[in-house]
Order: sequence, then structure tokens, then C-alpha cells
Amino acid sequence: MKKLLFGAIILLICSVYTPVIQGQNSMGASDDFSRIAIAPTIPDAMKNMPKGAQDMLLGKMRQIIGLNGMSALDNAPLFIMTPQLMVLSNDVTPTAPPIYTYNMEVVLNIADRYTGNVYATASQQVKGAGRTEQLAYNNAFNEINIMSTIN
Amino acid sequence: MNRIIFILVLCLTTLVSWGQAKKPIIMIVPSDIFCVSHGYTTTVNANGKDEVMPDYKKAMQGSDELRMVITKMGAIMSERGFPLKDLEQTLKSIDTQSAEISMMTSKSSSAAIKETPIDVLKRTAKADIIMDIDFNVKRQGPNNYITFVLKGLDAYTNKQVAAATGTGKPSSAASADLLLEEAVLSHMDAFNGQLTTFFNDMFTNGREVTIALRVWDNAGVDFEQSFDYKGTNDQLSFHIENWFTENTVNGRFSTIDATGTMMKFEQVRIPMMFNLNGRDVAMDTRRYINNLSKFLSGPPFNLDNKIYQRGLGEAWLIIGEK
Amino acid sequence: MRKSLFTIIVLLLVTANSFGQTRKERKAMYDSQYNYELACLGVGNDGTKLLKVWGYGKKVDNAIYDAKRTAVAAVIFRGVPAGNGAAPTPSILPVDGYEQHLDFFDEFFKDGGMYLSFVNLTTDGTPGGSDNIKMSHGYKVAVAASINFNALRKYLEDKGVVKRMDAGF
Repeated sequence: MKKLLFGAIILLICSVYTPVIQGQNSMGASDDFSRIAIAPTIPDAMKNMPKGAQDMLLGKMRQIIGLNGMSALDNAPLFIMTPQLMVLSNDVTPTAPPIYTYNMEVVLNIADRYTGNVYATASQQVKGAGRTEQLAYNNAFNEINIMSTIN
Repeated sequence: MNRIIFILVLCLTTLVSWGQAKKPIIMIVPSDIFCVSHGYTTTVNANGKDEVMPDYKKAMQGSDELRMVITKMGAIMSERGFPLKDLEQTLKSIDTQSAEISMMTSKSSSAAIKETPIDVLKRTAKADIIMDIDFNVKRQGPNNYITFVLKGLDAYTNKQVAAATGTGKPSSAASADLLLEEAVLSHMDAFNGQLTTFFNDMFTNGREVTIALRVWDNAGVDFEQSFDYKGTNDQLSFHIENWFTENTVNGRFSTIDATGTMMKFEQVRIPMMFNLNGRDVAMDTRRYINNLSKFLSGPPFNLDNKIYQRGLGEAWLIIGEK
Repeated sequence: MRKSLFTIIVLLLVTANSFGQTRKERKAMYDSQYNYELACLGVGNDGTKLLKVWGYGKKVDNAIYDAKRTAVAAVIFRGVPAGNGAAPTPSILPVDGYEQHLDFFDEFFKDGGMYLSFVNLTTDGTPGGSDNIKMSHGYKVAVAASINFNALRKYLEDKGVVKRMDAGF
């Protein structure tokens, strides 16, 4: 009886003080946004773009990711955001000074870093003009509406 | 009492002043061939193709002969009442302007200046008449001589309105600078004579301008749509042509192209002046096309439209919306 | 005899008539105000035109005065032809400009008139050789003259005889 009572008390204590063990985090089972981190990258195909323009685009992508609370803390998360530029037209005016103009569609893809699978995509047509190529790109990328590209 | 009325009438009549037409801006620009032959170029990639473009800044900074010629011609034109717009100074001014625009913010909310790509595209050195110059110092044995080509081009009609070309007398004694100065002095009077003829024609027959009509892609209307105007049912393009017939000097204009989405008119002769509240005011293409804009905005067309000015002698009207 | 005399008289009259017509034509040419004989000597200094111009007169001095007047008149109404490396210069006024502003030019070109302030002779002394030709009615003399073209045009513009290039703008 004492043994049974002792055992019941131990069980009672255990049921109150044993930490709850869960296989997942403390959030609800369907809240994936808190677990996903995305890092923006510029693909090699776009490395010949002026450095300033690359930085501008990188900055825009970081803003988009940051606004949605999904910035990666380390440099190699599973998911990446990569841009794709479809240049619809690119002219240089025969004026003084010559003006570079770009009319392009910027497509932002969220993909798996290793497999390359694209999970989400958004696009926006942008236009930019400037006295140098970099300025024209920058003015175009400045038009990217960071509030509207990701739901 | 009569004297007072007479004085009042005199005062009123003197208030109606004679207006003056818009003076064209003239600028000297080194020709493409001058820039290419002297190495003042830059290579750009446009639409996947490498193109060689003249670098005017490099030309201004690199050629003292060019500077001398531009200065000499500028002095002559200034004396004739047409001080030239200086290309070098304009390029510097554009650089400064761009910097100021990007730095400027409002005091109350730190708003930046709104600039569309079109605003950037328009920030270039512009003139109504371009003096396109090319010269070469050549050798014939011990002698130097100059070949000189000067073209006066209307920036909007792309027509050559004046020209002076020739080869100077070979000389072994005179330096290239002196020969160039002689070439300028020798040719400028004939050039200005032709320019004067061009201006006289402008005052007699109207200013020659270019007008283009286009359509926004969401306009829902095109130039082939039919409208009934003053009892005549016809395509919009023909109503527009009738308007030009009635509103140009001696009905002079040429329809170069007319499609469903585009119309181009060249050699449109517009009056130099128009009457505004009893005053003679200078007319330019934007003012002129505003009349067409009002015509199309009114019944039976009721077409909202946008005026896009490309300078003193060219304007576009885009149908559909502002 | 009578027949021969008659023939000779008729022949003489015909010849006299034909000589008379040629003289008239020549006289008309010499008297014409449009008879400017000039050649360009090259590119002048800033604002000037260098010409060689011929003048007519009973004496050499008169011919030189005539040449000065002709130089200024030619520059105003005819223009300067090309030559010696210089391009042609258009006239300041059309050919009938004199008639259009008769009173002004009568005063301008009178003896000792305003035209003299725009012409400088560069020929030293009396011209010689082929520049000084004795003719039946006087002398034909050529002198080298420098016309102050810019000042002349400006003077005519200020007097309202010529329209400025930027007039109306």
C-alpha cells in the first residue's frame, strides 16, 4: 500500500513536473513562415552587370525578404531569392550626353539553393534611363515595388 | 472730356504691343565624322549590338582647334543676334543639374523630386538648329590647307537649311590655326545668308514643324474608327487631316504615314504668331497642337489625349488618356 | 561717178550707224550703275573683305574715287565673288536695293558721302601697269580695297535699310 501510494505520488509529481516533449517548435503546426529563411543572391549570368546595379538589386531583394520577416541569419540557407532580367529593349540615344534606357521585366524567384526547384515567382516590368548604364539600371530597379512582389 | 477719352484710347492702344516669334536656339556640334576620325568616340552596347557613338565631351576636352573654331563662329553669330548655346558648357550644366536633382529634398517631408525615365531622357543638350561642323587640316607637299564643311540642320524636320563648304588656299607659311580662322571668316557670311533666307521663309510661309499622333495601348480607339463630324462620316484620320488643312498656313502639310495607331505629319506650316487676348504671341508646336488636342477632346470625338513636346518644332499627341 | 558717190555715201551711213550702235551700247555699259568690275583678293581680316575693283574717270584720281564707290556698292548690291581661297560673300541687299531706298543711297553715295568711311585702299600711290589703262574717254584704274563689311552691314541695319538676321524674333 505504502509502495502503491509512493508510486502514485511519484506519478503525480512526474505528471506535473515532467517537461512537455514535442517533436516540433512551440508554434502552431501550420506556421511555416517563422521557420523559413531566404537569402538573396545574384546569379553568375548577371555578374557582368555594373556592380552598383547588382548591389541595388540585391538591396531591393533584401528589403522584400526583410519586410516579410524571412531574412537568413547565415550565408547559406536552404532557400534563395534569385532575380532574372528579361530586357525588352535597351537603347542608347545619339544625344549629348548619350542616355542609356532599359525597358525590362524583373522576375524574382524563390528557389531551393541545391536542387534549383523554384517554389514561388513574381515579376514586374520596370523602365529606367540614365547617363550611364549603372544609372539606367538603378533607376529601373528603383521602380520595383517591394510591397507588392510577395504575398 | 474728349481729351481725356483720347488720351485713354492712346494709352490702351499702346498696351497692344507687337509680339515676337520664338527665336530658334543654335548650337555648334562637331560632326560624327570629325569625332570618329579624331578618335573621340565611345562604344556602347544597345539591343545586343555594339555601336560607336561620338563622345562630345572628349572632343571638347581634346581638340583645341575645335574650340577655336567654335569660339570664332560663336563670336560671328553673336554679332548677328544669335548667341550660340555652348555644347561644352551645356554638358557641364547637365551634370550639375543631375546631381542637384538627386540631392534635393523638401523641407517638410524630405520628399525627393519626382523624375520619370522620360525626364531623364530629355536632359540632354538640345538646340533648334544644329551647326554640324567638320574640318580637316591636309597637306599638299610643303603646304597646309583646310577642308571645311558646315551644315545648318533643323533639329525637327531634319532638313539642311544652310551650308558652307570649301577648300582653303594652300599655304606653307600660315599655321593650321590661322588657316582654320580664315576658313571660318570666309564661309560664315554665305552660311548666314542662307540662314537669313530660311528665317525669311519662316516668316512668310510659316514655321515648318513635325507632328506625330499616337495611341495609348489601352485607348480603345484608333485612327481608323469612324466619326460623324459636321455631317461628314469618315475615319478619324481624315477628320484630323481636314483639321490640318484648315489650320495650317495655306493648308500646307504632308501626311507621311497613317496607320490605325500612328499618324505622322511633316512640313506642317504653322503661323509664327497667334492672338491671345488681343496680343500677338509667339506660336510654337506645343501651343499649336493644343488646338488639335481641344478639337479631339470635344464632341463628337471626346478623346482624352496627352501632348508631348519634343522642342520648338516637334510635338506628339497621344490619344486615349493623359 | 554719181552712182559710185551714191554707193559710197550709203555705205558710209550704214557703217556710221553700226559704229553708233556699238558706241551707245558701250556707253550704256560704262554709265550703268550695275557695272561693277571686281575680283576677290583673298580672305580679309575679321569683318573685312579684300577686293580688287576697277573704276572709271577722266583722270586717274577720278577713277580711283569711282573705284572706292564701286567697291562699296558692289559689296552692298552684288556681293563678292569667290577667289584666292575665299568663299563667295552674298550681297547685303538685292540688286535693285538702290531703287528701293533711292533717297538713302543718293545721300550715302554722294561725293564725300558716308560710303567713304567703310572703304580703305591698300594700293600704295598711283596704280601702274595693267591696273592703269588709258582709254579714249579717260582712265580705267584698278585698286585693292579693304571694305569694312561688318561695320557697313551694321550701319545699314541701324538705318533700317537692311533687316537684321534676328528681326522678328
